[in-house]
Amino acid sequence: MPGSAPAKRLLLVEPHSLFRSTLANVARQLARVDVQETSSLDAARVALETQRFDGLMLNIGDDLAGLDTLQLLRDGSTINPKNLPTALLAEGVDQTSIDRIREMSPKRLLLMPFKVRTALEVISELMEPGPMEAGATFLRA
Amino acid sequence: MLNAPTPLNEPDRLKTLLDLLILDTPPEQRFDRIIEFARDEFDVPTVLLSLVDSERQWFKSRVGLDACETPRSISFCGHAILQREPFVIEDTLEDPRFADNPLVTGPPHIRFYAGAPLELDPGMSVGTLCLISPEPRRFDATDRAILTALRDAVVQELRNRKAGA
Repeated sequence: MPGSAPAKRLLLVEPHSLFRSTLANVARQLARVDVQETSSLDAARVALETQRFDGLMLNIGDDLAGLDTLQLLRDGSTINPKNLPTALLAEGVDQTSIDRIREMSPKRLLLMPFKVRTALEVISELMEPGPMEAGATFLRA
Repeated sequence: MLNAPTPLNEPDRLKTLLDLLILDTPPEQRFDRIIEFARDEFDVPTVLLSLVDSERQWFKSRVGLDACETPRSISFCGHAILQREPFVIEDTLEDPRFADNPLVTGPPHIRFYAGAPLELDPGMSVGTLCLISPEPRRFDATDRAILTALRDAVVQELRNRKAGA
């Protein structure tokens, strides 16, 4: 469309294929977000090192391995801004993990189970212009 | 009640369905996982993968319904396969086409229906992915988009199955 702004770009890192593809398809259609999706943390690291994004939605996994990927981002080891708006997805986290997560300043933490609709709302928040909020907001849909 | 109409391309549509070699086969996890995902996403008691045969609709995958098939003539899915987009009845009692349908006046007492047609080839809808509830409900653009995405996943699995994948 002439004169329209380019679509915002989101990196979606989520191992569950049905959830990932459904969320990505609906976000592209309704939120007009250019979603790059992957199930792999290794692929996510490469993407963050080589492509620019406006937001990151990252499943940190049972072993919290996704936090290592987020640490690279926050350390400035990718070509994306250190404070790239980020939402984390998790099965469940204990207090120690929550403390570590807070240090990485995600904009949102979604604890499973949650709905595609909820994740869509979070993507819309990530794509909004403006300064990143400090600290994490915890949602359970 | 308005009986489910017959598409103009019914012979070709039925051939597309029969070529899948899927009617009266056992449940498969590849479809059941999508049905269960839809139930959890939409909070409805009944979700069906319905295949519309010549005289019946048969359910390849189902949650919340004991019957494995019902007559096509009274089916909602028989209407939905004539559409390209999701066919939605937010309250059957407010719709004269369905208010006196036996599936509304008797078990499972359908008040809400949303069915996305499974179009394998242009104009060849073999059935639906459908949501059913005994309570009326609103169904907005986001709901439609999510149902459509899940429908697309079912269609892909049907193609994969036919290809032997």
